[in-house]
Amino acid sequence: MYKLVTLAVAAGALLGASGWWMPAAAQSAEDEVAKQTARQISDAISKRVGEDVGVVYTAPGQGMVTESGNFLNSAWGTLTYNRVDFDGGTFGGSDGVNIFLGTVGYDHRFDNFIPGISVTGAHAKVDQVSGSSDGATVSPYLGYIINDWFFVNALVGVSLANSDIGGADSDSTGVFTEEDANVVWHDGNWLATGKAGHRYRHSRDHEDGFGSTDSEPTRCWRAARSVTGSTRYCPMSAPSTNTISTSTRRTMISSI
Amino acid sequence: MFAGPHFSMDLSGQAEVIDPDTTAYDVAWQGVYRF
Repeated sequence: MYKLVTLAVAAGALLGASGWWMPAAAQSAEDEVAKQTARQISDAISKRVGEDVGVVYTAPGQGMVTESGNFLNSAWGTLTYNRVDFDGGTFGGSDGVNIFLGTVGYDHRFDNFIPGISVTGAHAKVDQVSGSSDGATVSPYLGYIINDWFFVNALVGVSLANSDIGGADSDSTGVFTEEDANVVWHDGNWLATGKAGHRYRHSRDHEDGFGSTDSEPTRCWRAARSVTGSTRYCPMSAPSTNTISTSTRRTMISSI
Repeated sequence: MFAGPHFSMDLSGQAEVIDPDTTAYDVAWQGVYRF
């Protein structure tokens, strides 16, 4: 009898714990997806604006150069696969999250100013947990090129997302802002980039059966750097945060 | 590689240690069309 009671209490405790875990894990997954999405959008925009810093289009072997100012409109797209691994069961026992992002954007250059807008779709799945998360983010941005090696950029992101992870269905709205100062330095076939900036992020989640919760507004200062070798003179930008290794390969076109 | 007179593209990858228990990897392709 004692054994039966003990089992019943243990089972009840387990059910209670899992009932608490599911929304908590789902919210953590959504939060991680939102965090990574903001970072990827920011990096894509920095990369895009950085392309117009001191860029000269060169035809390999021909030495023909044309200032990039000849092209004032840019339509661009980015596809990103992002994998986040968690060790030691720190994420509700899950191994990690796979995030797929697709971004399209447009901007127009007015002298040193580059205003633009981008739209991003995101899809995420958590290991060993059923369901997925889908979201969309609209991000207006503004870049200002100060000289051939320095530019600043700022962006705002507004997002809507729905997730059904582990049986917990939730909707969320979010906003983030970011301001970065970027340095681009090149010498021969080598390019170094660095950036430092500030990001603010806030979201509100509505979980079915659990009401709405506001995330703690998060602010962070970021510092990033990248050093890349290139086969020819080709200014580029590949900013990243806390990057321990980066490899970048770029092809540029000639303007004849 | 020449993709056209107005087109450039970029392929990059990176690994990031977020904290001792969390590591992020990503691969990104970006294409830009100027006109």
